[in-house]
Amino acid sequence: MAVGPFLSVDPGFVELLSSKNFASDNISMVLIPHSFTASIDRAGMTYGDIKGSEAAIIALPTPAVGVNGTNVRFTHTKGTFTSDGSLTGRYVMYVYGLHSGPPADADKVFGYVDLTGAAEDASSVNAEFSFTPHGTNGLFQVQRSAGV
Amino acid sequence: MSKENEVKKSAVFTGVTSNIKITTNTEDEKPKKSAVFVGVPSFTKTITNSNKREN
Repeated sequence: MAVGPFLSVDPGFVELLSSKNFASDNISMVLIPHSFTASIDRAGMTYGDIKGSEAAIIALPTPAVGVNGTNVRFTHTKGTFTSDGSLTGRYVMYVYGLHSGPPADADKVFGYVDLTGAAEDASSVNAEFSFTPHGTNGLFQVQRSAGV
Repeated sequence: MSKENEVKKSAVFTGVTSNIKITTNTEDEKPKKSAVFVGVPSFTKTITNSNKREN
C-alpha cells in the first residue's frame, strides 16, 4: 500500500489554473471508496459523478500557493476526515465547492490522490484518517519561467 | 449436651478500608487503527515559451 501522486482530472485542472483561485476559492476534499475505481474518468468528472459515494467530505484546510524554487507550489495543511472515527476509503478527490454546501453537481473534480495504490481501501478504526501533501513538493507543482 | 457446654465460634467480620480500582472500558482500550497519509512528490510540467531573442 503506497500513496500515489496527485493525478489531474484535466477539465477541472485547466479551469483551476485559468479561472479559479486555489488559495481562496471554496474547495472540498472528498474521500471516496475503492468501489468507485471503475468510475474514475480523468477526462472529466464533476461532483455529480461522485455524489453518493462519499465516505467523508471536508473543506480544503489552509490552502497556499507560492514559489518553490523553479516551481509554483500548490499545497494545504493536513486534511483530517476524522480524528477518532472509523472510515474507509481509497481516493481523496479535490472538488470545487464548499463541503458544507455541499458542492453543486456541476462543480468539477480537478484531481485526486490514490491512498493505497492497490485494489483496496484504507481504513481507520476509532482513530485518525488524514492526508497531508508532501512537505517539500506540496500537493502538486507547476513549472514557472525562470532564468530569464 | 447442656447449653453451658455448647461450643461457640463467632465469624463476624467487618471490612477494612481499601482502595478498589474499578476498571471500565476506556477510549484507550478500544481498538484503534490510524490511516494517516503523507503525499508523495508530484509534478505537473507546463511548457513555457523561450524568451530568447534572435539577433
